[in-house]
Amino acid sequence: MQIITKMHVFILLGAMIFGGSVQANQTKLSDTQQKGLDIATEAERRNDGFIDNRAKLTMILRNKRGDTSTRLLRVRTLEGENDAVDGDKSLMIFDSPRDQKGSALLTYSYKFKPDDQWIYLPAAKRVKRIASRNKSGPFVGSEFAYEDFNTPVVEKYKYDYLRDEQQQEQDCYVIERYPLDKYSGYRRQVVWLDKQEYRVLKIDFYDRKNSLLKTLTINDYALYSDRYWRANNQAMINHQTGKSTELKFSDYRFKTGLRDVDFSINSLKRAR
Amino acid sequence: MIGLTHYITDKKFMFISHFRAGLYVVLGCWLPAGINAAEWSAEVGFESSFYLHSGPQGQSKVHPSVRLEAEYYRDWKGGQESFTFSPLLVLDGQDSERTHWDIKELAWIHVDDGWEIRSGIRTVFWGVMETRHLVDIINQTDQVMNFDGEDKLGQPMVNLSIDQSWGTLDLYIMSFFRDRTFAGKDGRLRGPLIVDTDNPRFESGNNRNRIEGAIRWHQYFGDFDIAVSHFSGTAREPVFELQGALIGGTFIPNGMVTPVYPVIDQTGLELQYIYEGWALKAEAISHYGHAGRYNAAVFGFEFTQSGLYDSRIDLGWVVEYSYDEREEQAPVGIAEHDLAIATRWSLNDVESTEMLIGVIADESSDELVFFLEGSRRLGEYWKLIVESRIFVGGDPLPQDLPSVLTQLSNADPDNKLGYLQDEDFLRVELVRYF
Repeated sequence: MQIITKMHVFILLGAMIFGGSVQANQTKLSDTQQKGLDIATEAERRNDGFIDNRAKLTMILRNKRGDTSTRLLRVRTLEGENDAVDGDKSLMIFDSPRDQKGSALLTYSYKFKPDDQWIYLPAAKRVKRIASRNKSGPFVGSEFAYEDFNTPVVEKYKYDYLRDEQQQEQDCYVIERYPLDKYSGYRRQVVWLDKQEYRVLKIDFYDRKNSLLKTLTINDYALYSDRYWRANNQAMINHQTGKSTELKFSDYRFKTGLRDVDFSINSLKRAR
Repeated sequence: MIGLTHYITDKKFMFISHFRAGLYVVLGCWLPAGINAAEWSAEVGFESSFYLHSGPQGQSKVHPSVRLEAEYYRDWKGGQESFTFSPLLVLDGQDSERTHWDIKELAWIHVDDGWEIRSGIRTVFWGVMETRHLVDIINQTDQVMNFDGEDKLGQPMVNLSIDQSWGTLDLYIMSFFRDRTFAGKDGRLRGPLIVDTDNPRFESGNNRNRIEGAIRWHQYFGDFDIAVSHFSGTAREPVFELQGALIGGTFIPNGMVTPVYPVIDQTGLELQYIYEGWALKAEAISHYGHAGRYNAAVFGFEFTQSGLYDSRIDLGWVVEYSYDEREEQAPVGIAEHDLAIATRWSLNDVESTEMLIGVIADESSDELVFFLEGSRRLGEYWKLIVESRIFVGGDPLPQDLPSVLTQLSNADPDNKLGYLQDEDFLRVELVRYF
């Protein structure tokens, strides 16, 4: 229960910093809220200590008629050093579409404040900072929003445990999470995590008007370094438009020696 | 015909293989084992500019051109060392001055712990604004490429970049000055007098070989970004001197001007503050040269409405105000007190359709410049780019040389765009990526 106590302190700290804009339940969580938070915390704990990873990513965008368009990216992630305040740093480098080859997106995520984000535009040799509010927008024309890409930080949601249920033939916890960020595109998300490994198998995204917007199905998990589960396949379906986006990850590598300097604004200009 | 095609293909192949072989020999000398990535990429742009009117000196309404740009990149030691080569070739159907080539990049970058050194020909951008780049000074403007001045020529340099907790400090040593390109006799978007780019003059006794220095410190504190820079060297922007001959004690102009590049010192400041959907920005310079000191600034904001009316569309508002202390003495084309308002539409669709539509207005005259820049990807390998400018509210300048000279010597500060009144254009470029 020590983790939970630490959690409370963080939420309280967050509430103090943001002058109450964080609508966290500082006092007493109900039993289901506590259970939801416990599940999310355990899922995050199991991913602790991955240090860094690299992967290749193929995005397949599909419209209602089934026409597809592909994007190739490379993704690098560095785990936050200071567990109390820092989230992960991530770098996404575009190899295609060809007109965007060489563009790169750098994200610093934080536990108690909006992420910092920079984009490198190779044609103009220019690094541009992105206003933090604009994260609910679609990522490169896909059905994923910028915010869907960031490793979910426990402190950025409040939770509720809903039920146990089978998903992909596995026993799952079903929890609900409410983004605390007022500029999130979502009112809530329903998340299925398997009881064995606490891996997210499915997420239903509800828009600000609380109607079902998208469903993310995650499968083909593989185990790395005997400890870290990473999905090779993620499929997002937009129920309101009929469009979908598939993410295929490959060549996952862990502890590749990435350092802070590989995620600096200076390094963004030569990211390859 | 077959033979000819064959010959050309063969020749092209030989050129490439020779070229590669040459490059391998050059690089082979200092390339250790353990090469990570080596790749070529290229793009070809088929462009045509359509002008509403013929040029004041009878220039054509239609200006087709082809642009070839390539990039070779190779890194080794896990990206700690890298080499980039990026040549550009432009063939213009009308303007021989616009037919040109450049090496935009030919540089080696060594990355170390907290510092890196970048040597060779490079392009560096400084600044935060959208409509006007006041602080940006490292590279010469490739003026013939685009009216907006955002195209640059490669600048030879050695750049030491130190990245520490107190910020990023960049030190530059430069030489081999690059002359600004200007439209020729048959080109458009130029003044009534031809710029004699073959005979420039330099204030520096070393002409193009003056050693130039620059320094820039950049740091960010949360949502606040600051950069301070200083440049000491030959101005990228020339002043113009009327050409002519003294005949019997009378100066007879020949219709051309000499670009004169003075030696200057310029200090720059960049500020940016991000708050939710807002980016508040400012750039300022203090410029010291042959004509003394002047200050100029541009400031404004960019506000983005993400997901406009629950759609996928982002609408960005760009509002920027430019001020130049020289006011009416500022040269033609300088925004001495101009307001720019633009909207940036990002459809966030599969084709990355984007459009920037706006207007620049001179607050004291009725001069307006409307601009539009749009792009849309067509499939994986093609992209369509359109651009347009419409000039409103100025009076066209007279065309005969004596009147032009009278006009220039007694310029109307409220008619600075007079020379552009017949230059409304639409430019379409289709780019193929390889």
